[in-house]
Amino acid sequence: MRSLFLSSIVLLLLLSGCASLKPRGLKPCRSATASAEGLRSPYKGRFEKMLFRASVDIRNQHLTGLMLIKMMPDSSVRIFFTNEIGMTYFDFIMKDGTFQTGYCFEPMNKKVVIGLFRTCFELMLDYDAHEKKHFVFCEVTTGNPITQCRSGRYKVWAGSIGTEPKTSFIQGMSNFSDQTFINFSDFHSEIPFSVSIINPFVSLRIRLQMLSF
Amino acid sequence: MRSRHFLFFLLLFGFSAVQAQQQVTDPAGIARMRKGVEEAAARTSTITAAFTQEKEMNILEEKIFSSGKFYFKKEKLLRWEYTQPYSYIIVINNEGISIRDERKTSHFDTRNKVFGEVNRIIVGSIRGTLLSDEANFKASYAEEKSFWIVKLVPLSAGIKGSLSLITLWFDKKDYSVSKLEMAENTGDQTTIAFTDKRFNEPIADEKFILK
Repeated sequence: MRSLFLSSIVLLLLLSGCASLKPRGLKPCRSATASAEGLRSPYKGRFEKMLFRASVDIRNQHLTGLMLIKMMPDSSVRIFFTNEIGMTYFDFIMKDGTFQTGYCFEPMNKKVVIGLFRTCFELMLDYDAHEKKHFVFCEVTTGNPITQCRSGRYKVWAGSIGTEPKTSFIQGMSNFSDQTFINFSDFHSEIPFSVSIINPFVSLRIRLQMLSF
Repeated sequence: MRSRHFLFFLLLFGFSAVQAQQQVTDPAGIARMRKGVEEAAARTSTITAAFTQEKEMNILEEKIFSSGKFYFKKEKLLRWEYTQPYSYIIVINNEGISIRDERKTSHFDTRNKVFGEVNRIIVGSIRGTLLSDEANFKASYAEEKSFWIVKLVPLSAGIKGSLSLITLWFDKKDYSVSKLEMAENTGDQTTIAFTDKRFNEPIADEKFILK
């Protein structure tokens, strides 16, 4: 009974530790206005087709290949990941707040895993807090405004880091297991060519490097 | 009048297209073709070739192109060296599968589902063993002017889960594989075409080791 109690405490501490999304070094600054990076994904409404060189590390599996993200005529977004020799790993469809699986390679075709990918891609491509209630904090060292809001089912922190070179981030979660940290860098005309996505809870890491836009 | 001409050309074209690929059903013709592939495999110790790969995604109406160099050494050593759109190397040897991308070299055993199956298909087609693998594939045969065409429908659960059809084009001159097409259950397909093929030139064993 005592060990069960202790285990529960440890588990709670672990979960609450993992679930800390708030970036460090922030102070309240209510008079500041939110930056564009804090309110919207840099890709939202800005692409027709993007081809990335991609790597996905999940549960000791290192998968590499090409990721094509395409806006379809019906305004759905297809996220297609294939390995170098042409075999498809997954094909996801995002539309109007839904996330469907066109195809998923059998070892990854698990509801939990697909749910984690959903969080990654919805935050990366679809985050938009323009019309939503948000709070603005400031980075102590640079004064950069950082936005905190609720976007759909996600609690989100977003903004830019440092000054030059430009980098921005979106950190979001809907539950303990899907907390996701996204960093955007290597900007060309406001479009990031390099993306790093991490879910520390399950050691999921996605790296994307733009090949064509 | 013009539409009649158009119809004539359409029919002619359609007729030619049907004629271009003719089914081979007589056992003697199939045996001759299989013997040719087996004999070519027996006299081939190494292959070096350039390849171009086209991944066709039907729903997305997109194609992704890549290319590189291909090396094979008997019995089962393979090296795929992609140079476009970026550098990427896959080596398959007796130890397993090694992959080098820009970040690291990873090693897998041949049970790795995707690479293991594709390796079996590539090596099996080069060595001719795939054509007689009746436990795993149902084969049908056709021919064009310059090629023997073998269509393999996967029977085993492992391959059937991802591929619906594998089509191999064997050059009638030397019975080597000139083209390989893998159709996925999703309707997408990957075509790999081999060019500038060179046979039995020495390739150092080190080419098939990635550290």
